[in-house]
Amino acid sequence: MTQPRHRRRLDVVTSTHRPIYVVWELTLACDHACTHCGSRAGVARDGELSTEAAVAVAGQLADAGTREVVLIGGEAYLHAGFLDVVRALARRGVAVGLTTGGRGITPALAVDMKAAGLGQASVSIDGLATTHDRMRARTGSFDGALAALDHLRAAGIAITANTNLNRSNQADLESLYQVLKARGIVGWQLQLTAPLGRAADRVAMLLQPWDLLTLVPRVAALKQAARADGITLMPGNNLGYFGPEETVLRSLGQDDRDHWRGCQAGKYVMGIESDGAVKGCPSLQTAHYVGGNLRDQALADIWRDAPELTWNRGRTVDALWGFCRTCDFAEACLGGCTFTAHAILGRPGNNPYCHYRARTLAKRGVRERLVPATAAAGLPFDNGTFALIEEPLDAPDPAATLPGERLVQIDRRPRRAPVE
Amino acid sequence: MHLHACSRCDGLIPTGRPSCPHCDGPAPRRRPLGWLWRGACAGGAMMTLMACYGMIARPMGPNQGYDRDGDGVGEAVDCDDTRPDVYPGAADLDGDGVDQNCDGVDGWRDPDAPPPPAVAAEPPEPSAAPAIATDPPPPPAGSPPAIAVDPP
Repeated sequence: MTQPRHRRRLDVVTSTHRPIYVVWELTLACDHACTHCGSRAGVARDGELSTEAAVAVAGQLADAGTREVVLIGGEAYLHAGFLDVVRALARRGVAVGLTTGGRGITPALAVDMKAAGLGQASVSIDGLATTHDRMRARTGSFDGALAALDHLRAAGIAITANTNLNRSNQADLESLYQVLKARGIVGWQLQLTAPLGRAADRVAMLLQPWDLLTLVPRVAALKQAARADGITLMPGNNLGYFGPEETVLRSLGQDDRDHWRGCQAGKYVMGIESDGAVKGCPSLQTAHYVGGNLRDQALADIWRDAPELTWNRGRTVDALWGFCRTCDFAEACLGGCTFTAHAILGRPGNNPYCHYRARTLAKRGVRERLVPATAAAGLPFDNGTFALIEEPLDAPDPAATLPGERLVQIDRRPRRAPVE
Repeated sequence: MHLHACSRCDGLIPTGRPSCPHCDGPAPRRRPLGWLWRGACAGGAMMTLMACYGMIARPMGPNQGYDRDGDGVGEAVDCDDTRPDVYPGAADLDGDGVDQNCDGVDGWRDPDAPPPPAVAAEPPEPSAAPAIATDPPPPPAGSPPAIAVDPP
């Protein structure tokens, strides 16, 4: 260690953790009511930020060192100040992206987005036409999503796609890639449908942990094919974990050796809900992880002080439990995706949606099956809980015989829009 | 955490395991090289931070390259783009053996002090397992000299 002659001392008062990547739900209003939507989007929340307030938040983000903001919903473009927020962020040098179902994106809106400073848009496409329309609960949704890709691309916005993977659409995976490739996407993100929000109501839709034994290698093979095509395929934060394909899945380049390094919620990632609630990650459960509200507090104060934001910054293997606590990769992995683990077992630190775990159990001739234990309450970003049943690897799969109609079964009345 | 690359399959092997958990291939008998650790931990998670919302990694700006560790500074400027706590301007704890702020020394360097001597990267050893049979990629032009550090 080199000792300088005259050390300029500076009190370390700033954390190295910064909200560099922010996902901002601008409104919960949506023109879809997707069957797997974690936020149960459709109707705007009470007390959503006005355009003026949202533009002010954009300034706070830039001041906090945010480099990228992805606007989501609901549908972000249904917020009256959508383009104003894009402009405000872009003007401060923040890269702005959009995740969208695409239904309302017209050629004119795409041009306006580009002019406002939107650099990249990801259209959610969850399967071929029949599958996608069923998951999105709207006939014609697939065609609308493809048209949105065309409009965005024509406007000069880089287009990517994102796909939720579950039992209702996994058969479409390779065929869907060909469709998206032909559309000119530059990136494709695949994530598992976690039992969050509406997906928590549809148990038959969900993957069972042993499904990862075949699904993850398929994704890895697709990634190799996409790389050859010049398309960046990246797994979402809840897909993978230390199987033999881990470095292929997580690396950008052919020779890179990247791997999962633990949940980054509250470290370099932040989520904002449309009413100003701040979380460490946009998908974290509202009831457990909101650290403050931008209507009442400064963003910097919430980021620095709220336990719901800081809990993950010094986390160690001591926070893990169950299989994850004893896993060979525990220290590097830290239990995988927090919101996914919480959505399954009611708290983070033990994640059955893990490729290495499924492989380890399979070597012993067993597997884990998720069995619903408690139902979700029916609020945005909520979850029920599951029991884990260990059973022989070749045991019958009860869910495999469920008819397709069961995939869209809802046994609770939807939440009504608030009365103005 | 140290992770070795398996010489038989593409899998990773945690330190302390006698064999690869995926193919039962033998684990290397020594700690991975500093560059291997960096290569094996090059921020894959950070590349996918936005991935749940479908964005792709992009260069951080002109001549900055990709930000592999997610600290907001691209690899051409960041002196260790595998560690999100290391980037120009970061708080640099004195005495922890890590140059977090990329000024060439642990702690804060007196701007009037002479430049620190270069620290050579850890050389490969003949007995090292051929886990990744290539040299680490050369640093981007203009980047500071590589400093091999042990992971925390």
